[in-house]
Amino acid sequence: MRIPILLLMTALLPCAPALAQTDAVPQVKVGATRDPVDKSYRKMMQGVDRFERDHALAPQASLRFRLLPRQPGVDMQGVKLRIAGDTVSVPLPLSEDNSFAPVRNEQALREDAVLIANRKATTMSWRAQVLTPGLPPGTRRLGDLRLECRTGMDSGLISNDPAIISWLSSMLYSTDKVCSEPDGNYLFFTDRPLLGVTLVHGERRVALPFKMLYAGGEQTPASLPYCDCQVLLDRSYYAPLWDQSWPDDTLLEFDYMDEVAP
Amino acid sequence: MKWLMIPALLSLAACSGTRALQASKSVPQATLEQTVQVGSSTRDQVRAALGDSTSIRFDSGNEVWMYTYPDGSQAGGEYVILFGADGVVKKVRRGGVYKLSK
Repeated sequence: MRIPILLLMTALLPCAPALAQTDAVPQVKVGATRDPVDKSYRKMMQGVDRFERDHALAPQASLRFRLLPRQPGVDMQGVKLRIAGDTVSVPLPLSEDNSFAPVRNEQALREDAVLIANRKATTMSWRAQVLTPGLPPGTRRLGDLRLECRTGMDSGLISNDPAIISWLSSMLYSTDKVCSEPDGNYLFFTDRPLLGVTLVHGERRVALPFKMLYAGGEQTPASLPYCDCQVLLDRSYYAPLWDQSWPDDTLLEFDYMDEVAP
Repeated sequence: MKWLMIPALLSLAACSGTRALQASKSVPQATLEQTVQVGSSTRDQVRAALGDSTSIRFDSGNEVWMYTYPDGSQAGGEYVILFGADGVVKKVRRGGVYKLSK
């Protein structure tokens, strides 16, 4: 859910007319971490519960959570993550794509533990990752994305916005609204820069409009740092989660900027 | 805490006009096809021939520009041009698009 948060944040900023991304900056490696990324373990497990409850949207899919770069220059190599409570400390091994499988730990739940990464709070964002195995390369399944949105929202993992913005956002936007209404605006990301996305179901094919790519094209230099698409703008898209005329088995086919045209 | 939301929303209303994308320009599809040549047309050439339209520049140096063209539908077709960091057309996509009701 980026645009609502973005709108709230930009309300507190000077207006800026131009569209652009931030300039590239040198990569920064953070050693000892003050103000580390941390998320509520209980909230994350609420997302796991939601995934299990709504699994019919993607019956073959499994759930992971994935860490994504949020700021320019963040080093995504060697990220370490653990569940930390008063007495419990459980390392969560990350795969090459910086994703991890959630684990249930009753003691961590009792201790209201947090997930702590060895990166500063604003440098990374999170997403649930719901993947049905065996899909054609360069595609996602709409039911997976619907479940990913619900799981991600219930997990409260969406970036580290300032507390007041998170509070305002949670007041205004529930999981059901964000994941079931046309103005929900839950952002998804691909692994490579996008030129187009096409919905495919049986004989039906239609491209998503430009307004559903690149975070809606609504970012300005002033607002971009408050979007967790900050360094992933060219990989971001919205999916028509709300449109039941496109069933869960609908595929989204990606046309990447770096692919040679047929 | 409602008092917190009032200035935020007022400020939001004041800013909303500056955040919209530049409106896309409608150009006949035949003109688009004649003007835009993958691998050779440059940004300056396209701008001179077609005028400015919706565009976004990325950190990579890539830019995407979007024009619309009449295709009999209410929204029209979209013609999206990808310029590489060298300013030359790298790729295009065209066609009718999903109707966004929001």
